Amino acid sequence: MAFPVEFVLLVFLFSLGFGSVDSDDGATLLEIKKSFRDVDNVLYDWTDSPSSDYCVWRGVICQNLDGEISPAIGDLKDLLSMYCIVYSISVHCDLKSNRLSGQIPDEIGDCSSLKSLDLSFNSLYGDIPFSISKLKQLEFLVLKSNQLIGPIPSTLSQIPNLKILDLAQNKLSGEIPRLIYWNEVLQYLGLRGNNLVGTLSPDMCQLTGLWYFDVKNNSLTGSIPQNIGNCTAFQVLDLSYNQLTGEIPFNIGFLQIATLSLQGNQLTGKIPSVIGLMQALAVLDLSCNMLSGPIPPILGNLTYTEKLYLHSNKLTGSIPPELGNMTKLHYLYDYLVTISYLELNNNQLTGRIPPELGKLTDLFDLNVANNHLEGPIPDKLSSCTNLNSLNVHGNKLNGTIPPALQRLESMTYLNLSSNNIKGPIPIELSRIGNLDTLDISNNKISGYIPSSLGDLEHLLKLNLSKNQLTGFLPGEFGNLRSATEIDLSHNHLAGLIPQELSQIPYLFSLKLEYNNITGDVMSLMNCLSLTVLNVSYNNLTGDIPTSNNFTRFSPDSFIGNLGLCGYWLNSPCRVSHPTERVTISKAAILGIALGALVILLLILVAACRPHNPTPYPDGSLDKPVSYSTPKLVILHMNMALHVYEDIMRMTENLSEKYIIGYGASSTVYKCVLKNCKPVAIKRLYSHYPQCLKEFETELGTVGSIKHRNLVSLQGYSLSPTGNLLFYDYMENGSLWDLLHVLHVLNYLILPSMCQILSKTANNAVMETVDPEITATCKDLGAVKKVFQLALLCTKRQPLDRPTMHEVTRVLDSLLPVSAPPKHSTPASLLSSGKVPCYKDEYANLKTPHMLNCPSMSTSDAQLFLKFGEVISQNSE
Amino acid sequence: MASHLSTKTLLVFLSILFLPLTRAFTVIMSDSGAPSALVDGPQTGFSMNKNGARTEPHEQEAVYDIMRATGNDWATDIPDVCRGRWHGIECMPDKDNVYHIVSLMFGALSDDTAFPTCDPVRSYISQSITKLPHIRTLFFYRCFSYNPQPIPVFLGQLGPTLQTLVLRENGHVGPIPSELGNLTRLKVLDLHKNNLNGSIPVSLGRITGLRSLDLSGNKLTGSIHSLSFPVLNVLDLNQNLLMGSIPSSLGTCNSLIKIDFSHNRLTGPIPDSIDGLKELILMDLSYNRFSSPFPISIRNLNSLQALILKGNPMRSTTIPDDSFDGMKGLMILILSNMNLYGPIPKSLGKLPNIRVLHLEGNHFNGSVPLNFKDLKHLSELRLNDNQLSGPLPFGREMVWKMKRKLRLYNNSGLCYNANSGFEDGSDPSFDSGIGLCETSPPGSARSVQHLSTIHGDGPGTINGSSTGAVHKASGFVRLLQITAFLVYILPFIVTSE
Repeated sequence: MAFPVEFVLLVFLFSLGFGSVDSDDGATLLEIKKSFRDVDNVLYDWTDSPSSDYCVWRGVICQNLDGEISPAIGDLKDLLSMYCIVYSISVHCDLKSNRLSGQIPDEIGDCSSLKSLDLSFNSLYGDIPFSISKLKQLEFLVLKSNQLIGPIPSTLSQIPNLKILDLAQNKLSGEIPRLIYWNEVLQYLGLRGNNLVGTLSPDMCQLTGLWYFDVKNNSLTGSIPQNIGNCTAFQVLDLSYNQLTGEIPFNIGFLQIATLSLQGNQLTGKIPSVIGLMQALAVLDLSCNMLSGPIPPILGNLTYTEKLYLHSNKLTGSIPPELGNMTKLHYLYDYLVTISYLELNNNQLTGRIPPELGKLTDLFDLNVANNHLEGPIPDKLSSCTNLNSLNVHGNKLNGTIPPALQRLESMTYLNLSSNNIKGPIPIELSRIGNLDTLDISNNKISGYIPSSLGDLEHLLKLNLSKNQLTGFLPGEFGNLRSATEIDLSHNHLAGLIPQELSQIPYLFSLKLEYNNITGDVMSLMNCLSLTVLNVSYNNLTGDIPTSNNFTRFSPDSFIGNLGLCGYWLNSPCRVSHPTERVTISKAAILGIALGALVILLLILVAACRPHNPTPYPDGSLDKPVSYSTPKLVILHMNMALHVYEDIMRMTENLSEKYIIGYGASSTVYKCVLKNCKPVAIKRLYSHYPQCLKEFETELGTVGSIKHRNLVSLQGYSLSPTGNLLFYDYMENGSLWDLLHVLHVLNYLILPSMCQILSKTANNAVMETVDPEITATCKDLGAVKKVFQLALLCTKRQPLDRPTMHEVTRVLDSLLPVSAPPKHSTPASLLSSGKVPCYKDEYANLKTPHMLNCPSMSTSDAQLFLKFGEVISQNSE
Repeated sequence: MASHLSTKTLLVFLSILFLPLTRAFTVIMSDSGAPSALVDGPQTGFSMNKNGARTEPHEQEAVYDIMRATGNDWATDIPDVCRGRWHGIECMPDKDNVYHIVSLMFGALSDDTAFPTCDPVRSYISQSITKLPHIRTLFFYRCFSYNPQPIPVFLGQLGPTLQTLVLRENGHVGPIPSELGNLTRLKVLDLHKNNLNGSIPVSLGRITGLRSLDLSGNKLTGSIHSLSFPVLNVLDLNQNLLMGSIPSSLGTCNSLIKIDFSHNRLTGPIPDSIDGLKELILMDLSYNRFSSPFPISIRNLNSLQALILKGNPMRSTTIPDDSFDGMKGLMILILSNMNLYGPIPKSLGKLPNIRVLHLEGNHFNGSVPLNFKDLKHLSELRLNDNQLSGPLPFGREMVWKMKRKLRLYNNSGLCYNANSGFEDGSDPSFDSGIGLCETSPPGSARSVQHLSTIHGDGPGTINGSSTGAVHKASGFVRLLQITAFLVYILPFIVTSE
């Protein structure tokens, strides 16, 4: 399905000049238009005809609201002329013909009041123009995902208020200019995915306000600056996929960051134990380096870490049992926060798998594959009841498969292959009903295959090969309705190929070679989905069928079976009956020919049919992965076991009785998960396909930032009933919680932004206003003003939104002169018990998904006004 | 269990076992700078300051005062400001596990930092700040805009500890208090964009450990007195009303990486002593009244990447030919509107990394040096409004690459050779502003220039499509067009007579 390719050009022009109508703005816009190629159909009404008012141009909104305006300013027209905001140009268009191309124009430097410049996701090429450094008001410079070349100009450091600098995914080269780091207000530095070289300067810690530092995927060399511990404001530090060398500096432990990504470099030395003291760490990724030495036991102190990736290094020693301590009661919400991802694979770890890991009750993924681990698989691991994936492949583990693994009911991936595990396959394995992969190959497992393995109805891959299994192939395998690959090769299995195998609808690969299987292969004739088949080196007999396209399998699939007669020429039993063929009568030949013709026709008909899934009985479609159900992206362990349908079931398809609040753009539901913990589901009313991708990307980012100051986003789903966001459900969050919600909020308003963007792109702001308003309200100018005020409040960047103070000033100015706001005693208001509730409402306003205020059911707009009143009264 | 752990780890675990909520790991920093014995080390923000640990009560009260003074009355409900990690408040413990406030930050920087905001109408800086004996960082951003007030003198009392003082865009008025010179441990002083007047206090010279000094965007007058900051990296005085000349002592600040004196009223020559600034990356002296001679010592600034001198109307200055020899790192050179005379120095053509070169609005004459064709990385070239003549030495590639960022108009006789890429550009909005070189004597070049002045809609515009059309035509077509043009304007001439 071809999605319309979408791009958004956001250029915010804040002309701060207090002069009269300034046609220079229009001229500047025209110059800007000229610099882009092939935009005539996008910016078709940007013309310089004398009557042209650039305020009505497509995508241009002239705005009159800004914090600087005093309430005295009355007439809308005057105001309109003062602020020209090229608000957005949101166009659905074809990738080839309409993407913005060309160079960033020099003229952009003449927009001296430009506050935000967002030209991301276009095909702009050439250098970053020098003139950008003339934009002294610029706060957001977002040029990501273009084709820009050249170095990052040092002169960008002359933009005094630059807060967000996002140049990611371009072709910028040269070094990161040292001067960029000398900025007190820069918040966000995104340089990911360029060709930057050179080293990281110790000056990077001069960014005293920066929380996001991302230079992933460049070609930076040298070592991590020794003074990295001084970068105390950093919350996300991503240096991954560069060519950094040297050791990880000891004082990195002074950082209070949430995400530390150093993977994909050439870091050497030991993991500094001080990392174990970075208690805010949610994600620690040191994988794919050349780190050596042991895993510091103190890493067990990282009680808030959810993801610990140490794989693909040269780590030695044993797995410290202290890692089992990575669990802690959440200090605010009273639930256990424990590590979910623990990946230690591809190292040189020795010793045993510590049974203490069993304490990690929320562990989701445990991977210790390709190490030198010995001893048994500890029974205690079965306490990790949320374990979804366990991989111990490629070690020297011995002992037997612990039957206690049956307690891991949510496990979907179990890989015990390439070890020295003995004993039988415990019948209990078949109780892990969610398994989709079971691989115990290349061990020394003996005994019979338990027929109950057929109960694993979700199993996709089953690999029991290279063991010492005996007995028969259980006919119950026919119940493995989801199975696509079954490998039982290199065992001592005997008996027949069970007829029931042909009931597996999607079986793609069946490998039974090197066993002692007898009988014929006729039972496989109906396995139409089978593409890979190997029954070689068994004791099979009889004819290999030629019907049902069985000839798709090469002779290699069948060799080593002395009694098996093939359709190919040098098949062993063909030559033993050469005379039979010449005695066939002409009538028989005719019959065969006719039959063949009929078959050919049948095949032809089958081939020409549209590729619908083969109609199987409903029962078989019940469980296999259904690709049409919306994806539920899980970002938090709480929701690990859930799929979209679960949520729908638990909320009775988002039934009204679960609604706990409404917002301007969403409805909030409460849902109690399988683990008895509640989540708040925020359902955004409308979504536009063009925003989905960005929405999803941003959500992924936000979801991965797990920080105590963030309301944790546990998951999301982009479903036809609306986009769903899953949050911590907070019954009694403190005021502190409410006031310290961070940037998650920015992303929540995205869908509603899209709605507004698409409206404004059509140059019909007023269309979004209820048409009936004319019945009750005569002053449409005031309506428009309020609407535009509201628009400003929905700006994506919080800094573009007016402060509450400014909002009230504007609203004040709209009130009729005869009825000035009553100035009730501010002192009493402040001291009255009401005030905290207003604060709560303010927090709710900013965080509509937080649900603790009883008056949440009133609309955001009402709260907005109410809050505005309070502020204006208090600040008099 | 603990037998195989190191002692340090053992301690940690003991502390976790017995004092589960105290800080787990401490490192005493030699460089803490402050006289107090704060214990520096990884902060365990979650568990800090519960059992046993406490915040110094006087400091707690002082924080309440400061919060009230910025309109954050709600903060007085916080039982313990060092508990949890409040944005804008940082604390550190001393040996006795008593917590002290080391950093206070205010202002709506962004939601990502979520510092306490200020009520711009009634906020002020509370004197209680002086009751914070361990304070290292003060940061106020856009806090007092509607309540103009001077920078409080009492800030000078924070001398023993304060390392960072940021008062950005706060609407502060009056002079910079000379008491700030008592802040001798200061590393960062940022007073950007206030309404400060008066001169820069001499006392600031006492802050010898200063690494960044930003006084830009004020109304400071007087001259820049002797500068002696051995570790100063950034010196930003732009957008003030400073007068006098640059002190030659600037050359002793040899850690400088950025000098921005632009938009002042500085006079005199640029001192030769700047050649000691080996680390300098950016120097912006634009829009002042610096006078000749052209500072030849800049060529010793090996690290310089950007040099911006435009808007200094030097009196009839020529640039020595070797002025830019060896400036390997130079990427941006802006010499517009400087009243420069003579030929363009050939050493410009040897700048291997130059990307932006603005020479417009001068009186350069002669031809463009031939070695300009070697400037492979050039992305912006402005030669317009000079008296240059002769053919341009570029090939088609460079012309195509620069497109509209190549500005050549308003020169007396600049022209391009056939096949240089000017005439067959596919972009109709691109007009190079010059004509084709005639192979015949130089007089004809002038006539082309003359024609385009009449024909285009004025010099300096870049959207004159008619000139573009002329330039795109080949010589023969041009001749036809000139004829047509003459025929076209003839009636107008006749009627006007």
